[in-house]
Amino acid sequence: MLMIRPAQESDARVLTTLIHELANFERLGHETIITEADVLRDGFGPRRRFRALIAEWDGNVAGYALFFEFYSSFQGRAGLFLEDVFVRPEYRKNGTGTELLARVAKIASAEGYFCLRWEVLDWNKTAIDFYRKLDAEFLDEWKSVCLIGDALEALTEKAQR
Amino acid sequence: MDNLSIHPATRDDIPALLSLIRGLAAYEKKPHAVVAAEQDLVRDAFGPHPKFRALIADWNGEPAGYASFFHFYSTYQGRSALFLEDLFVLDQFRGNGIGMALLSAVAKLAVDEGCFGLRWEVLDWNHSAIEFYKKLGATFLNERKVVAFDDAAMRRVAEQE
Repeated sequence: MLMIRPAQESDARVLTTLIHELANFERLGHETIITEADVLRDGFGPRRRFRALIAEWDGNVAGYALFFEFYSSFQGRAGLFLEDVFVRPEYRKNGTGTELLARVAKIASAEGYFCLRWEVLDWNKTAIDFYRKLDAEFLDEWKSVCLIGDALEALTEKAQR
Repeated sequence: MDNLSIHPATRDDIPALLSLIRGLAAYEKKPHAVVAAEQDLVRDAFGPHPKFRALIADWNGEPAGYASFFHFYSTYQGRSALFLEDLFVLDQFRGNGIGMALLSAVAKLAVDEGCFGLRWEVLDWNHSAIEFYKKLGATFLNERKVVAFDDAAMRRVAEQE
């Protein structure tokens, strides 16, 4: 039987493992440096940066969803950003992903967020079809950009003193 | 640059900030997209649960542009980036380095606050912005598609639980 529940402090280890499993699935395992200490601090410490749900089949951890707020200045309201949703391969096709997504959507709706937003890798056709069937909107005119490392440091040098 | 001053937005800046947000929406060819009211921005920037921060750029004492941003978690990094929601300079003030000054000020905040980087999104037709970001060494996460449920889709999905 499937049960979905909010992650607790005692889930920090399994949550860290699941995050690394997702990263490997997304072929980004080599870039993934999160530790259990990070998960404890940012998920369960005094300044929480995210919330998470754990999905269990008959008491075995099957997947997770992890999310946090973002803001829209045009809306003048916050939305929820779904950073991760993942189901372990052996538990797929049981509706676990739909249930996780539905629970996050329910939280977003109940807590008054104006939308639920996330990103999907363009080669993940299964996920894209799944989201399409649920009437998700693909905001294809928006490109995601990031600035990290040396380029970030170089830019800070240009800041006014 | 004696004409330019950048400061964190205060309550007194909210009318100017909302006007600048509307300026950005017009520039993005979505003049009707802004439903935010002054009271929303006051609540979400200065209330008990702040959801965003903003910097205002004044040119000779006149509001010329702004940046708005908030913390945005990465499970791969195990820490936050600053997500740059908006970066905008009014047309009549462009060419004075104001955009660069705002962006570098946000980059400096990101580094000072222990964030791993800056993240944002750019419209695919905005070639001058894309060129500007490329010159700074920004990484374009082209394999990522941005997806969203609006309020109605969110409610329908929530019912699948």
